[in-house]
Amino acid sequence: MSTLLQKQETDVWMISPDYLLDQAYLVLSNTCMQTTATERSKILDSMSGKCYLFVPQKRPFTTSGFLAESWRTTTLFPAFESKDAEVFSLDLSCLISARKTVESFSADLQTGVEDVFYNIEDDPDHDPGFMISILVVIPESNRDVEHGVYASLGKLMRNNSELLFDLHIVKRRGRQTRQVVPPEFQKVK
Amino acid sequence: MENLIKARRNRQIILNHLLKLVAECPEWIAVIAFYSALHFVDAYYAKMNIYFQRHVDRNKEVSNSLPDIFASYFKLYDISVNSRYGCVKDNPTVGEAENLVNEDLPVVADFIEDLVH
Repeated sequence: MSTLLQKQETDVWMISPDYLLDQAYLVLSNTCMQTTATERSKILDSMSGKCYLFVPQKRPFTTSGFLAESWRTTTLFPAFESKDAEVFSLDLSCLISARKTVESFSADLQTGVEDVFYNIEDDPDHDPGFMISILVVIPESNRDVEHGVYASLGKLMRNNSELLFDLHIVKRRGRQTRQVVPPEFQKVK
Repeated sequence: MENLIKARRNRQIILNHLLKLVAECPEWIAVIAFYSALHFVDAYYAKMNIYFQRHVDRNKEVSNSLPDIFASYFKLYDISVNSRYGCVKDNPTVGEAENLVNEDLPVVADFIEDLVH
């Protein structure tokens, strides 16, 4: 595999196309490891056009050091080659678990919900080191639907007490979905 | 006790003064309704010497230890956040603001009043 690493801005690194997220491994250089937490917080996959947000791993996820999550962007940047890159692997089990949790939550929601989006936000000062932020899009106010969402959220939080969640219901009110959802949020399938 | 005084005061300000202005400023009625609910909840936790600095931590604890009021409390939280940080289209409607004051806030207030006495 190539050890090509591409540094674009102060805090954005691009992973070589050789390293695919669905292989459950990402590769960073030793240089990248020595940067500050902020500088290694966002990773961009040059093949898929997606970035990856890296969060220092904390309990209860304790294997290989980092959590990765896709970071939506369409911007690509120039690259440079890292000659002395040191390869190590990343455990994505926590990410996968968080994603499945959100997908399960979304599947349990009643009709009336148009879309569910989520984003994993860095929260290094508090366990577990990140927060899962969820946006539920509905077309207009609907008391029953909204209470159903909040009740489901309560259940989700009780069943996953090791995780931190935030949620907001977005009433679209004639706007396009992408007008009301920030670009870093991913749509739940 | 301070939390309870603040919670009741916020609620009375809405009921006695602001509800008549709901057509003009439903979003600020939602915000004050939420902060009434927050102080009710904090009054309960203060009795156990539990204090929160962040909404996300308080919300998590409410989901765990006060599940009966979680949906109403979180609705107040959610709509108040949208009221403060969203655009005008994200403001609650008059009906939503009235529901917060007349239905969701009483769920939280009555439950906590029973618990702390």
